[in-house]
Amino acid sequence: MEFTTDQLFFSSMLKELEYKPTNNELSLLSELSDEMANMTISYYPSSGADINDLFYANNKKVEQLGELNPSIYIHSDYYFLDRFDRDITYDQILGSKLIQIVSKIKVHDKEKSINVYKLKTPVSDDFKWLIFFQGYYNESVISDLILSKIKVPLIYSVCDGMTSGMGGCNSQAIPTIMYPLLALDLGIKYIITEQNCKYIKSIIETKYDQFSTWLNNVSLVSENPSTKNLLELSNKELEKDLTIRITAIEEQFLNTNGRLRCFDDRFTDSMVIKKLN
Amino acid sequence: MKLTSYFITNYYDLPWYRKKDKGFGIPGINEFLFFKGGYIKEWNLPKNDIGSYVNKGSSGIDFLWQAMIFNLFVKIVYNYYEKNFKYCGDFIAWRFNVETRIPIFKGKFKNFIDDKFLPLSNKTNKNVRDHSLINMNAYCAFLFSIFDLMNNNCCEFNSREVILKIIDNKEFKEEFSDDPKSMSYIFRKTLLNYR
Repeated sequence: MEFTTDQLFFSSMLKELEYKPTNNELSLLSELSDEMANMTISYYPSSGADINDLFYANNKKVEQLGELNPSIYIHSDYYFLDRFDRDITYDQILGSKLIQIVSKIKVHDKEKSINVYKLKTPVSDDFKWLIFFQGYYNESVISDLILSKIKVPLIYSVCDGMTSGMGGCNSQAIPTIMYPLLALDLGIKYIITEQNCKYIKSIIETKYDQFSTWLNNVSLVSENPSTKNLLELSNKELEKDLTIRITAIEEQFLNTNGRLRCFDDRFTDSMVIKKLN
Repeated sequence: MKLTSYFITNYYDLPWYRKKDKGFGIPGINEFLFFKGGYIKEWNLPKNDIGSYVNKGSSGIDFLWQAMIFNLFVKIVYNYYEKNFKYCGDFIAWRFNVETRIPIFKGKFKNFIDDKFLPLSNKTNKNVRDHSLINMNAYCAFLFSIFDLMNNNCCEFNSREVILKIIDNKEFKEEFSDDPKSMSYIFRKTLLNYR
């Protein structure tokens, strides 16, 4: 079957941008599509320009991932780089970390862009793919992934906007502490994050009144009926239920005994890996 | 001699300036939000400053040697083990609470050691030279200890293999003088024979 961009999970986003690929671009996107069908995918919501996951979200650094070794890294952020400073490009940020751009497609309008990169990072002999949705809500990306039945076994999430005091622009936002409720939809097996159990408990204490809104937002993208059932609970019951679910997840601190397994210049000491059953 | 917080703090405090990186220079760099790409930090020391370190005695002389050896470590990793470069920078930033961008000396090892460090006054030169020769093994051990620290904690290095492989590399040889009397030459020789 001949490849068309309709086969990509973000085809509707491409259509919105009135994208018409060249033959070379089509060939690159076809290659990406094949890879997505066969290789492990990692997703970094609200990534900003952070690219630490390209270096640390792999089974060589984080042994707990076992056989899981992402080749495709999806990033998204509502913040759109070009809107703020045209002197700095994302390509230069990649270059500053010695990442070689093998091929690239950039589709954009004034407010958003989709960047597809085939990369060579200095830490792996294999090609890696990076798809960066700039100017998009995380929830749009998640929704398209779920609709396309794409599995994302690894979530890399640092400094979630919603629970860190940013990200208030989207009333349908899903804070990343709620992502375990999307595990079935997205096939999430692991989450690497600074939002460890202690942090989540403090969020529950301070933002408990927002859980029903967040849960409702989860149910807008989730196809899992049990999520919808939770909406039947009273606020108090919901708080209790979610507290049990979220804090019961097995987690391990990553940077122990002075050894660096996952770096983030803001949160290195708090970084954990959560294993979802 | 080991990589300590005290050393790193002083090293990062050396007078540095921004230099646009040839490979990925960004004009009008703006460290807006989390963007920190596009330039390298180069440090340099005027002769008077070098003199003031030397006047501190052995601790000042050792610091200057350590600074140049740490700089050598950074150059080795950047040029020959780029897969470990980010890991080392991140680890140092984490362990010693400094930023990930490591300042580097603007010239070659020999430019500092032979041309800037030693040609002070004759009397001072003798003191520096004598102290340096006595401690040459310790300086070599310092370089190995940096690789060992990284090897244990953030990436894989066989320090002996790395140094022996790199030190004879044609380009890297230019870091050191060919003059057997020069300190940079003696350091390289000591490094090759270090047990």
